[in-house]
Amino acid sequence: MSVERRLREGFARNANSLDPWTELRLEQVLGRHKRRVRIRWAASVLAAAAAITAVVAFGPRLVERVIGTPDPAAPSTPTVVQELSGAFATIVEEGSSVVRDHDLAGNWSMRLNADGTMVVNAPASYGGVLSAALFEAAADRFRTSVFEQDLCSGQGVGIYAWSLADGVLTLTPVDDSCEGRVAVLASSTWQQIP
Amino acid sequence: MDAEAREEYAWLFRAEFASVARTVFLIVHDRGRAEDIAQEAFLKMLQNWRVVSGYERPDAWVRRVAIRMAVRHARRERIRPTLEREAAGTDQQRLPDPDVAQAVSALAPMQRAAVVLYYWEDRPVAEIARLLQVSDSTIKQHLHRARKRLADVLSEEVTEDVR
Repeated sequence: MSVERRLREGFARNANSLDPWTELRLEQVLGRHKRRVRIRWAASVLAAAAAITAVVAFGPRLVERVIGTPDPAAPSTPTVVQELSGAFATIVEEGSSVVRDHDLAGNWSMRLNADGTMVVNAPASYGGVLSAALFEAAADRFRTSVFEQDLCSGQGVGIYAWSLADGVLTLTPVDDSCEGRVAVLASSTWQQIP
Repeated sequence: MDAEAREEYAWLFRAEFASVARTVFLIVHDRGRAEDIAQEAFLKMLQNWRVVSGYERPDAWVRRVAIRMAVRHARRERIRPTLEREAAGTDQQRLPDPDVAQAVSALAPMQRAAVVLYYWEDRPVAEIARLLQVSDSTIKQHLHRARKRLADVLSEEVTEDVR
Protein backbone atom coordinates (compact mmCIF):
# COMPACT_ATOMS: atom_id res chain seq x y z
CA MET A 1 0.00 0.00 0.00
CA SER A 2 1.21 3.56 -0.59
CA VAL A 3 2.08 5.60 2.46
CA GLU A 4 -0.40 8.27 1.32
CA ARG A 5 -3.30 5.85 1.33
CA ARG A 6 -2.17 4.36 4.63
CA LEU A 7 -2.11 7.85 6.19
CA ARG A 8 -5.51 8.84 4.82
CA GLU A 9 -7.10 5.62 6.09
CA GLY A 10 -5.26 5.70 9.41
CA PHE A 11 -6.17 9.34 10.04
CA ALA A 12 -9.81 8.69 9.22
CA ARG A 13 -10.02 5.73 11.60
CA ASN A 14 -8.18 7.49 14.43
CA ALA A 15 -10.01 10.80 14.03
CA ASN A 16 -13.41 9.17 13.98
CA SER A 17 -12.64 7.38 17.24
CA LEU A 18 -12.97 10.77 18.94
CA ASP A 19 -16.59 11.57 19.65
CA PRO A 20 -16.65 14.68 21.82
CA TRP A 21 -19.63 15.61 23.95
CA THR A 22 -20.32 18.80 22.02
CA GLU A 23 -23.32 20.00 24.05
CA LEU A 24 -21.40 19.75 27.31
CA ARG A 25 -18.42 21.61 25.83
CA LEU A 26 -20.73 24.31 24.48
CA GLU A 27 -22.33 24.77 27.89
CA GLN A 28 -18.87 25.04 29.47
CA VAL A 29 -17.73 27.66 26.97
CA LEU A 30 -20.88 29.75 27.41
CA GLY A 31 -20.57 29.43 31.20
CA ARG A 32 -16.92 30.51 31.24
CA HIS A 33 -17.67 33.45 28.98
CA LYS A 34 -20.58 34.52 31.18
CA ARG A 35 -18.38 34.38 34.30
CA ARG A 36 -15.71 36.49 32.59
CA VAL A 37 -18.25 39.08 31.54
CA ARG A 38 -19.64 39.20 35.09
CA ILE A 39 -16.17 39.62 36.58
CA ARG A 40 -15.40 42.42 34.14
CA TRP A 41 -18.73 44.05 34.92
CA ALA A 42 -18.15 43.74 38.68
CA ALA A 43 -14.67 45.22 38.29
CA SER A 44 -16.09 48.20 36.39
CA VAL A 45 -18.76 48.74 39.04
CA LEU A 46 -16.15 48.57 41.80
CA ALA A 47 -13.89 51.00 39.96
CA ALA A 48 -16.77 53.41 39.45
CA ALA A 49 -17.80 53.08 43.11
CA ALA A 50 -14.21 53.72 44.22
CA ALA A 51 -14.03 56.80 42.00
CA ILE A 52 -17.31 58.17 43.38
CA THR A 53 -16.18 57.49 46.95
CA ALA A 54 -12.92 59.31 46.32
CA VAL A 55 -14.72 62.32 44.88
CA VAL A 56 -17.20 62.44 47.74
CA ALA A 57 -14.57 61.88 50.42
CA PHE A 58 -11.83 64.14 49.22
CA GLY A 59 -13.72 66.80 47.35
CA PRO A 60 -12.92 68.92 44.35
CA ARG A 61 -9.29 69.33 45.33
CA LEU A 62 -8.59 65.70 44.57
CA VAL A 63 -10.47 65.90 41.31
CA GLU A 64 -8.33 68.83 40.32
CA ARG A 65 -5.17 66.94 41.14
CA VAL A 66 -6.28 63.81 39.30
CA ILE A 67 -7.15 65.77 36.20
CA GLY A 68 -3.87 67.58 36.42
CA THR A 69 -1.86 64.35 36.68
CA PRO A 70 -0.51 63.03 33.37
CA ASP A 71 -2.38 59.88 32.36
CA PRO A 72 -0.05 57.06 31.28
CA ALA A 73 -2.68 55.91 28.84
CA ALA A 74 -3.29 59.38 27.48
CA PRO A 75 -4.48 59.58 23.89
CA SER A 76 -1.89 59.70 21.19
CA THR A 77 -0.16 62.87 20.20
CA PRO A 78 -0.19 62.98 16.39
CA THR A 79 3.35 64.32 16.15
CA VAL A 80 4.67 61.56 18.41
CA VAL A 81 2.93 58.88 16.35
CA GLN A 82 4.46 60.45 13.22
CA GLU A 83 7.88 60.38 14.82
CA LEU A 84 7.52 56.72 15.72
CA SER A 85 6.06 55.55 12.44
CA GLY A 86 8.33 53.28 10.46
CA ALA A 87 9.61 49.73 10.41
CA PHE A 88 11.72 48.17 13.14
CA ALA A 89 13.35 44.81 13.69
CA THR A 90 14.68 42.93 16.67
CA ILE A 91 15.95 39.51 17.65
CA VAL A 92 14.42 37.75 20.63
CA GLU A 93 17.00 35.44 22.14
CA GLU A 94 16.15 31.96 23.39
CA GLY A 95 16.63 32.04 27.14
CA SER A 96 13.75 32.75 29.45
CA SER A 97 11.02 30.17 29.99
CA VAL A 98 8.33 32.46 28.54
CA VAL A 99 10.32 32.68 25.28
CA ARG A 100 10.70 28.89 25.15
CA ASP A 101 7.09 28.14 26.13
CA HIS A 102 5.64 30.34 23.41
CA ASP A 103 8.34 29.82 20.73
CA LEU A 104 9.11 33.52 20.68
CA ALA A 105 12.82 33.28 19.85
CA GLY A 106 13.88 34.58 16.46
CA ASN A 107 13.64 37.60 14.17
CA TRP A 108 10.68 39.92 14.70
CA SER A 109 9.76 43.01 12.79
CA MET A 110 6.99 45.55 13.17
CA ARG A 111 5.66 48.46 11.20
CA LEU A 112 4.15 51.34 13.16
CA ASN A 113 1.81 53.28 10.92
CA ALA A 114 0.90 56.94 11.24
CA ASP A 115 -2.78 55.98 11.60
CA GLY A 116 -2.08 54.18 14.88
CA THR A 117 -2.15 50.64 13.49
CA MET A 118 0.78 48.28 13.78
CA VAL A 119 1.66 45.15 11.86
CA VAL A 120 3.93 42.59 13.45
CA ASN A 121 5.80 39.82 11.66
CA ALA A 122 6.85 36.86 13.75
CA PRO A 123 9.56 34.25 13.24
CA ALA A 124 8.28 31.12 11.47
CA SER A 125 8.51 29.08 14.67
CA TYR A 126 5.89 31.26 16.42
CA GLY A 127 2.51 29.61 16.10
CA GLY A 128 0.29 32.24 17.69
CA VAL A 129 -2.31 34.46 16.13
CA LEU A 130 -1.06 37.80 14.82
CA SER A 131 -3.93 40.02 13.88
CA ALA A 132 -3.79 43.74 13.25
CA ALA A 133 -3.06 45.69 16.42
CA LEU A 134 -3.31 49.28 17.56
CA PHE A 135 -0.87 51.52 19.35
CA GLU A 136 -0.98 54.92 20.95
CA ALA A 137 2.00 57.07 21.74
CA ALA A 138 2.45 60.17 23.81
CA ALA A 139 5.61 61.97 24.86
CA ASP A 140 6.68 59.32 27.33
CA ARG A 141 4.28 56.44 26.87
CA PHE A 142 3.65 53.79 24.24
CA ARG A 143 0.50 51.72 24.63
CA THR A 144 -0.42 48.73 22.47
CA SER A 145 -2.96 45.97 22.10
CA VAL A 146 -0.63 43.69 20.14
CA PHE A 147 -0.95 39.94 20.91
CA GLU A 148 -4.32 40.54 22.60
CA GLN A 149 -5.94 37.89 20.36
CA ASP A 150 -3.81 35.00 21.51
CA LEU A 151 -0.56 35.27 23.47
CA CYS A 152 -1.92 37.98 25.77
CA SER A 153 -5.58 37.02 25.62
CA GLY A 154 -7.53 38.58 28.50
CA GLN A 155 -4.50 40.53 29.76
CA GLY A 156 -5.39 43.90 28.31
CA VAL A 157 -3.02 46.37 26.75
CA GLY A 158 0.64 46.92 27.56
CA ILE A 159 2.08 50.28 28.52
CA TYR A 160 5.74 51.07 27.85
CA ALA A 161 8.10 53.99 28.14
CA TRP A 162 9.85 54.62 24.84
CA SER A 163 12.86 56.34 23.39
CA LEU A 164 14.05 56.64 19.82
CA ALA A 165 17.61 57.74 19.15
CA ASP A 166 19.87 57.12 16.15
CA GLY A 167 17.38 54.67 14.65
CA VAL A 168 17.18 52.57 17.82
CA LEU A 169 13.81 52.22 19.49
CA THR A 170 13.84 51.17 23.14
CA LEU A 171 10.65 50.06 24.88
CA THR A 172 10.68 49.69 28.65
CA PRO A 173 7.70 48.05 30.35
CA VAL A 174 5.70 50.33 32.65
CA ASP A 175 2.54 48.27 33.06
CA ASP A 176 2.10 45.01 31.19
CA SER A 177 0.91 41.79 32.80
CA CYS A 178 1.63 39.78 29.64
CA GLU A 179 5.13 38.31 29.96
CA GLY A 180 5.21 37.15 26.34
CA ARG A 181 4.55 40.66 25.03
CA VAL A 182 7.21 42.08 27.34
CA ALA A 183 9.68 39.46 26.06
CA VAL A 184 9.04 40.43 22.43
CA LEU A 185 8.78 44.19 22.81
CA ALA A 186 11.30 44.90 25.51
CA SER A 187 13.89 42.13 25.78
CA SER A 188 16.12 43.98 23.34
CA THR A 189 16.11 47.19 21.33
CA TRP A 190 14.48 47.63 17.91
CA GLN A 191 16.60 48.75 14.95
CA GLN A 192 14.89 51.00 12.44
CA ILE A 193 14.85 49.35 9.03
CA PRO A 194 14.04 50.79 5.61
CA MET B 1 -24.35 39.07 23.61
CA ASP B 2 -27.93 39.09 22.37
CA ALA B 3 -30.05 35.98 21.80
CA GLU B 4 -29.56 36.03 18.05
CA ALA B 5 -25.77 36.23 18.30
CA ARG B 6 -25.77 33.48 20.91
CA GLU B 7 -27.85 31.27 18.65
CA GLU B 8 -25.55 31.93 15.72
CA TYR B 9 -22.49 31.11 17.83
CA ALA B 10 -24.09 27.93 19.20
CA TRP B 11 -24.96 26.83 15.69
CA LEU B 12 -21.36 27.24 14.54
CA PHE B 13 -20.09 25.49 17.66
CA ARG B 14 -22.34 22.47 17.08
CA ALA B 15 -21.38 22.33 13.41
CA GLU B 16 -17.62 22.63 13.83
CA PHE B 17 -16.50 21.60 17.31
CA ALA B 18 -16.13 17.86 16.70
CA SER B 19 -14.33 18.40 13.41
CA VAL B 20 -11.85 20.89 14.93
CA ALA B 21 -11.28 18.61 17.94
CA ARG B 22 -10.56 15.64 15.63
CA THR B 23 -7.94 17.55 13.66
CA VAL B 24 -6.31 18.70 16.89
CA PHE B 25 -6.48 15.13 18.19
CA LEU B 26 -4.47 13.87 15.20
CA ILE B 27 -1.76 16.39 16.11
CA VAL B 28 -1.65 15.97 19.91
CA HIS B 29 -2.84 12.32 20.26
CA ASP B 30 -4.59 12.98 23.55
CA ARG B 31 -8.38 13.00 23.57
CA GLY B 32 -8.88 15.18 26.63
CA ARG B 33 -6.21 17.65 25.60
CA ALA B 34 -7.58 17.84 22.04
CA GLU B 35 -11.05 18.70 23.29
CA ASP B 36 -9.61 21.24 25.76
CA ILE B 37 -7.60 22.94 23.01
CA ALA B 38 -10.61 23.04 20.68
CA GLN B 39 -12.75 24.39 23.52
CA GLU B 40 -10.18 27.09 24.29
CA ALA B 41 -10.15 28.13 20.63
CA PHE B 42 -13.96 28.37 20.61
CA LEU B 43 -13.85 30.42 23.82
CA LYS B 44 -11.44 32.85 22.13
CA MET B 45 -13.87 33.04 19.25
CA LEU B 46 -16.73 33.83 21.62
CA GLN B 47 -14.66 36.57 23.28
CA ASN B 48 -14.04 38.09 19.85
CA TRP B 49 -17.45 37.21 18.43
CA ARG B 50 -18.37 40.75 17.48
CA VAL B 51 -15.38 40.87 15.12
CA VAL B 52 -15.10 37.21 14.09
CA SER B 53 -18.78 36.83 13.24
CA GLY B 54 -18.26 39.50 10.58
CA TYR B 55 -15.60 37.41 8.84
CA GLU B 56 -16.49 35.49 5.73
CA ARG B 57 -15.39 32.21 7.35
CA PRO B 58 -15.53 32.32 11.17
CA ASP B 59 -15.06 28.53 11.14
CA ALA B 60 -11.69 28.95 9.41
CA TRP B 61 -10.65 31.46 12.09
CA VAL B 62 -11.38 29.10 14.98
CA ARG B 63 -9.75 26.18 13.18
CA ARG B 64 -6.60 28.23 12.61
CA VAL B 65 -6.43 29.26 16.26
CA ALA B 66 -6.94 25.66 17.41
CA ILE B 67 -4.30 24.23 15.06
CA ARG B 68 -1.72 26.80 16.14
CA MET B 69 -2.48 26.04 19.77
CA ALA B 70 -2.09 22.32 19.00
CA VAL B 71 1.30 22.88 17.37
CA ARG B 72 2.44 24.90 20.38
CA HIS B 73 1.22 22.16 22.70
CA ALA B 74 3.06 19.52 20.64
CA ARG B 75 6.26 21.57 20.86
CA ARG B 76 5.96 21.84 24.64
CA GLU B 77 5.27 18.12 24.92
CA ARG B 78 8.32 17.33 22.82
CA ILE B 79 10.67 19.07 25.23
CA ARG B 80 9.16 17.41 28.29
CA PRO B 81 11.40 14.61 29.59
CA THR B 82 10.47 11.21 28.11
CA LEU B 83 9.79 9.57 31.47
CA GLU B 84 7.44 12.35 32.48
CA ARG B 85 5.60 12.00 29.16
CA GLU B 86 5.31 8.25 29.49
CA ALA B 87 3.97 8.59 33.03
CA ALA B 88 1.32 11.02 31.82
CA GLY B 89 0.39 8.54 29.06
CA THR B 90 -1.26 9.16 25.69
CA ASP B 91 -4.09 7.57 23.75
CA GLN B 92 -1.87 6.22 20.97
CA GLN B 93 -2.08 2.55 21.89
CA ARG B 94 -5.85 2.64 22.28
CA LEU B 95 -6.44 4.03 18.78
CA PRO B 96 -7.82 1.98 15.85
CA ASP B 97 -4.55 2.58 13.99
CA PRO B 98 -1.85 2.96 16.65
CA ASP B 99 0.99 2.50 14.14
CA VAL B 100 0.01 5.58 12.16
CA ALA B 101 -0.47 7.58 15.37
CA GLN B 102 2.91 6.51 16.71
CA ALA B 103 4.71 7.19 13.44
CA VAL B 104 3.14 10.64 13.13
CA SER B 105 3.84 11.57 16.74
CA ALA B 106 7.56 10.95 16.12
CA LEU B 107 7.57 13.81 13.58
CA ALA B 108 8.44 17.40 14.47
CA PRO B 109 5.28 19.35 15.41
CA MET B 110 5.22 21.45 12.22
CA GLN B 111 5.66 18.35 10.05
CA ARG B 112 2.92 16.65 12.03
CA ALA B 113 0.52 19.54 11.47
CA ALA B 114 1.41 19.74 7.77
CA VAL B 115 0.80 16.01 7.27
CA VAL B 116 -2.52 16.10 9.14
CA LEU B 117 -3.77 19.13 7.22
CA TYR B 118 -2.68 17.66 3.89
CA TYR B 119 -3.88 14.09 4.27
CA TRP B 120 -6.77 14.47 6.71
CA GLU B 121 -8.19 17.88 5.92
CA ASP B 122 -7.16 17.66 2.26
CA ARG B 123 -5.90 21.23 2.19
CA PRO B 124 -3.63 22.49 -0.59
CA VAL B 125 -0.04 23.46 0.21
CA ALA B 126 -0.65 27.20 -0.13
CA GLU B 127 -3.46 27.11 2.43
CA ILE B 128 -1.41 25.05 4.89
CA ALA B 129 1.44 27.53 4.48
CA ARG B 130 -0.86 30.45 5.30
CA LEU B 131 -2.32 28.62 8.25
CA LEU B 132 1.05 27.73 9.75
CA GLN B 133 2.60 31.09 8.78
CA VAL B 134 5.45 29.68 6.72
CA SER B 135 6.27 29.63 3.00
CA ASP B 136 4.88 27.15 0.45
CA SER B 137 8.35 25.69 -0.06
CA THR B 138 8.74 25.07 3.67
CA ILE B 139 5.48 23.10 3.68
CA LYS B 140 6.54 21.11 0.62
CA GLN B 141 9.81 20.32 2.36
CA HIS B 142 7.99 19.29 5.56
CA LEU B 143 5.66 17.02 3.57
CA HIS B 144 8.48 15.52 1.54
CA ARG B 145 10.56 14.69 4.62
CA ALA B 146 7.58 13.53 6.64
CA ARG B 147 6.35 11.15 3.92
CA LYS B 148 9.79 9.66 3.47
CA ARG B 149 10.12 9.07 7.18
CA LEU B 150 6.57 7.73 7.54
CA ALA B 151 7.07 5.39 4.60
CA ASP B 152 10.18 3.98 6.29
CA VAL B 153 8.53 3.58 9.67
CA LEU B 154 5.29 2.13 8.29
CA SER B 155 7.09 0.06 5.62
CA GLU B 156 4.96 1.54 2.84
CA GLU B 157 5.76 3.14 -0.51
CA VAL B 158 5.86 6.81 -1.48
CA THR B 159 3.98 7.31 -4.74
CA GLU B 160 2.20 10.67 -4.68
CA ASP B 161 3.60 14.16 -5.16
CA VAL B 162 2.42 17.27 -3.30
CA ARG B 163 0.13 19.73 -5.10
